[in-house]
Order: sequence, then C-alpha cells, then structure tokens
Amino acid sequence: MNLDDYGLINLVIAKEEIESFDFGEIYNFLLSAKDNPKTYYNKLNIIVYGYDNDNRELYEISEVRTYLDFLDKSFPYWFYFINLDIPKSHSFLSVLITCLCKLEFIGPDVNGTKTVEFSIEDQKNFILNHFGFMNEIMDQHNYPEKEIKRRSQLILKIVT
Amino acid sequence: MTPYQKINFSIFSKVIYNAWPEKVFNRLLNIENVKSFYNASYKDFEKQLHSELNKYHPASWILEAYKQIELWTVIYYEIKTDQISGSIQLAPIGRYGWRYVIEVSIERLNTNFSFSSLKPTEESMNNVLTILAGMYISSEYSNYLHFLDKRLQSAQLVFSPRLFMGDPLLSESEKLFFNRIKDSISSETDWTGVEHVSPNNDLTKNKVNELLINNFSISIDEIHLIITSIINGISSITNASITVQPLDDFVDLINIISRLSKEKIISFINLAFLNYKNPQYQSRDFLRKSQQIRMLHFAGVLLTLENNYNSIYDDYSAKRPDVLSAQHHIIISPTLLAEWLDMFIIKLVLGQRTDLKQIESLKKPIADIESFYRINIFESEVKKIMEGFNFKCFNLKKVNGKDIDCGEIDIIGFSTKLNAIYIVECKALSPIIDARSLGQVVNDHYIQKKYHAKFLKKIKWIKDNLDVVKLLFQERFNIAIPSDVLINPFFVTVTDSTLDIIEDSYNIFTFYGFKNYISNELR
Repeated sequence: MNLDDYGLINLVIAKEEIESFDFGEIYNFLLSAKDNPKTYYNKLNIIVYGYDNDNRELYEISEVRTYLDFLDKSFPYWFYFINLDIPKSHSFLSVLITCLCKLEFIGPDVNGTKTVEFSIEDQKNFILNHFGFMNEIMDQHNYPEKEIKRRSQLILKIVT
Repeated sequence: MTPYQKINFSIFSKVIYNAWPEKVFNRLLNIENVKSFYNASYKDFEKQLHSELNKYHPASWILEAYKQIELWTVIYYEIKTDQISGSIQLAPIGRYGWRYVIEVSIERLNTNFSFSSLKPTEESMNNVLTILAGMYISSEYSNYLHFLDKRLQSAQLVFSPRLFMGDPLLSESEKLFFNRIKDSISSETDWTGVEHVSPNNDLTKNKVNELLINNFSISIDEIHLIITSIINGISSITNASITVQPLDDFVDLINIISRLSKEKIISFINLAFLNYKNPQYQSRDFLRKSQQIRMLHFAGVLLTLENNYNSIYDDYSAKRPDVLSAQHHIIISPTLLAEWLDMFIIKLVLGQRTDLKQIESLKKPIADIESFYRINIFESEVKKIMEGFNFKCFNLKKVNGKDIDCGEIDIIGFSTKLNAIYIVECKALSPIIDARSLGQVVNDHYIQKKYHAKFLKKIKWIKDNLDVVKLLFQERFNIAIPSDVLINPFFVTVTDSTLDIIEDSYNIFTFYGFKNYISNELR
C-alpha cells in the first residue's frame, strides 16, 4: 500500500519515543494541526513503528497502550483529523480503539489467528467521547450537517 | 558554564499520567480534584527524587547540589559574568530545590545508606533538576489553590504533556485575580531612597551585631573578614569559587589569614553551616513547617565523612594525609556566605529565624530586635510619613489608665485638610516570595494571628468611641474634630503583602504606597 496515494501527512511514533514516554515532537505537531484544523481535515495518519519483530499485536504491548492512552487524553480529536480513506485494517483509529479499550479475552493462536474480545462498554465510550471532540471542531468551523453525518458514518464503519 | 537545566519532559509526562485520576478522561473539574492532582504529583516526584538520590553517595550529592546553588545564585541575582549563564526562570527552583537535596542528603549521610556509584551522572543531575522543578510547580499550585480556594473556584485542568508548564484553567475574572497575585509576589521592593526603613538598615544591623558579639563572639565586620579571607586566601589561589576542605585545616587557614581566634571561627561555623551534629538539629519531616533547620538558613555545609573521600575531593586531594585523617569537612562559597549574611540580618529582624528563637538564651535578644525594627523603625517611619503631610498622630494603648479592649492601635492620625481620621495598623510581615509564604501571610491574617479580625475590632472601637478619640485629639493637639469627620482604616506593611488583592474591606498598602496614596489624596 502506498500511503502517498492518499495525500496524507504521516506521523511516525517510534518505539524509542514510546519507551522513553516522549511526546515532544508528535504533540507539537498535533497542536499546530489543531490551530489550523481545516488544513489538516482528514489528512493525518499515524504509524507506530519499531514493533515489527515483536510477535505481539500492538494492543498486547502495555507500553504502547499507555503511550496511546496518554496521547489520546492529550489530543482526542482523531475523528476529525484522521484520514478515513485508508482501509480499516491500516487505519490508526483501529489501532487506537484496540489499544484503548480493555482486553476482555485473548484466545490461543490457531494457525496465526486469535480470537480477541474488547470491552463493549469501553468501545461505546470511546466512540461517543471522540464524536464529541470531532463535533466540537466541526461546529466551530461551521461544517454542514451533511458532512458531519457522512464522516460519522465512515468512522463507525472503521471502529465497529 | 551553565547549571544543569535540561528538563526531561518524559519525567513530567509519567507523573501527569500516574497522578491523573483513572476515571477522568481529559478534563479535571472541581478545585478539590485539581488540588489532589497536584498533591499526588508532588508525592510521585518526591518518590522519584529519593530513588534518584539513593543511586549515588550522599556526600557527592551535597557537593553537586552546592555547586548548583552557587551557579543558580549568580543567575538569580543577575551578577554580570561571562562565565555563567542559565535560565532566570529556573533560578528560584534551582536555588530552593538544590538546598532541599542537601537537606535530604545530609540526613542520608548520617544513616545507614548504600549507593551504586559515587558521583551522579549528567543525566541524573538533569533528572533531579526536572524532579525539583516538578515538586516546586506542584507544591506552588497546590498551595495557591489551598490558600486562595474561595477565589479560584473555577480551577480546572486539561490533560496535556505541557500541564506543568502553565496555570490551571480559570474563569476570566479569576484569571485576572490570579495574575495580579503572581505579579505581586514577583515584585521586589526598591529600597532606593528608603534604605533606612529596610530590615537591614544601619540601626538594626547594629542590633544584630550586638547579638552576634554577645552570643556567638563574632561581629558582622569579622564575618566580612572571614569572607575576604576565603576570597583572597583560598579562592584566589585555588581558582575555585567553592572551597571543600577538612574542617580543622579550614579553621587553621582562616585563623592565619584573618588573625581571628579559632574559637571565633568555630563559633561562626556553628552559626552559618548546616551541620547534622548541631544540637539544634532535628530529623525532619519536610511536610511539617515546624521544622526550621533548613539549608535556607545556612551558608555552608559541615559534614562528617570518614571514607569515600572521592565523593567530595578530587583524586589527588582524596589521598592527602590531612584529608584521610579528617572526620569533618566543610563546603563553603564566599558568594553564598555574603548572601547568607544579608539574609541572616533580614530574617532575624523579620522574625523568620524561628530555629534560633528556640534557643533559650536567644529568645529575648531576638524578640528585642524584632520589636525594635517594628516600632522604632517601621511604625516610626509610617508616623513620620503622616506627620510629613501635617497629620496629627498618636499611638493609643490606654484610655484613662486602662488598656483599651480592642488592643493597641499603632497610629491614629487626623488631617484637617482631608477632614479624616486614619486608623493605621503597621505590620512588618515577612516578604512573600512564593505561594507557600503567601499562604503563611494569608493564614496569619485571617486564622492563626487573626490580624484581620483584630483590625476590624480596632476600627469598630474607634467608630464606637469617636467622642473619646475626639477628646484625645483635643487634649493632645488642641484640635476640634468636626462631627462629619471621615474614618479611614489602613493596614500598612513593609513589603508588598499581596493582601491588598485579597482583602477589600480596608486599604492595604506598603509604607511607600501609603505615602503615594496620601500625597494623591491631598492633591
């Protein structure tokens, strides 16, 4: 998949940043995006980098979960900024929701496939909460109701 | 040369994450929750500080901390030098925080301790500064919210890695109030032209000199002589601004250079050096304000060290026979000693040396100096200001030989031109330098010493007994006070008390603000 095809701004969170709990670079960028929301609308993609050799999924790595939890609390406007054209399997929203919602059950690995259950309650709260922050920006910048609705539906397709 | 000043923001972020309530998403409402967050942060920082300090030898920490205080002091006072630079914003944190490190480390040095390495690394020094900054910030905001709770009700926090870099969110009006408080705290008294009223004026200095001679067998001039002896006899030769030396060697050397007796020098060391073996020393609980033996009150450190001499000496000196045979060692800098002498006088005069007041033989002489300054210098100056504007003034304690029931009124003054009686309460409060000292002043004003309630009682007494007051003016100055006279109460302080922003039921001024006020009124 070539991310350039989507006209994206890709932000990379490196393993080193996660391990040292360093938010300097990414947070500064996100704040500047928040100051110019229209420029970055549906443009951001975040990639967590450095765990390719780790057998665990990102949502199973506690320092990744903690890092993203911190980042999400600091900047909960993903529903507005994250690019929704990327396939669900590569979307940062998928990474985020799986890392932020409580893991209820992880089944055994059977031929490379695992059954994983996340807290439904947490997923519900995540969705409602983040829609609130998306609406805050879209209302401030007078996006038409139709666009808000269209985007909401796209988000729901990814996160549910 | 710069002090260690690289803030490790990862430490801040971890503390924010740990202290943030689990069930709250990203906005912390309610002043109590905000205060709890800062308190939890403080505890987390403190835990990290101890863990960092435990990695290295406490004597190394004492020396490294002392060096940092020296550097931050140069920056704090903006002493012009090409050699030292650093962030002036971090200077108060550096000066206060590294003193705290000395206090913790001297205590650790005198217990059973272990350590992984002798001397802290650069990374560790920066981490400690970060932690000290975090402790300072958390405790400042916690104190502001505690002491000004009724005026900062709108306080909220929004989760962010920069949370410790700014104020809590406040409503517009509370923000305005808070900014005024902070401006007031950071304002410094300009003593130019009013040096005679400053706590270290020549008259009070003489009194302190007497106290030093009578109780410590040393005069202020002799202390100056010690300072110059260190500068000329040690620092200029070693080319080092901080002297680390076996105690006996130091005493011998100063004795030779200054020709002061060894007894005098030892007595001075007992007064000006933080020493765990000092009889007044108490093991401390840093959260209790009653613990008064703080590095803040001392210029140097006297420590006991019988091994690991490399923790404070270079490799060559650590092998010297005089070092190897010494039990006690001193760390001193002439810069910090000179600052200490100034602060010693000011703190003594303003009643801040409660540690010395615990010594039986010093109780009375210190109380005498405090009241001398309060009455003979400060109150007298306020009275002079009023008389300079043709007020007729007197102090009122008794009427018809009996104490008045509202307590002594410092100054009652009448101005014919203004047709007003001024009721003046003079208070030589300690200067406010941070949220904690603001808290102390607010607490004394309203709760502990009840200055507010007492002053209101005095105002009421004057109003209820106006006929008596009129008679007193008639008797003393042959003035007939008209029936439509105005009664204006004033609470006058030496330095900016910040109380004027908090209290509006009467005027609160510094003595120089009071002078300007009267001048404007008469214009």
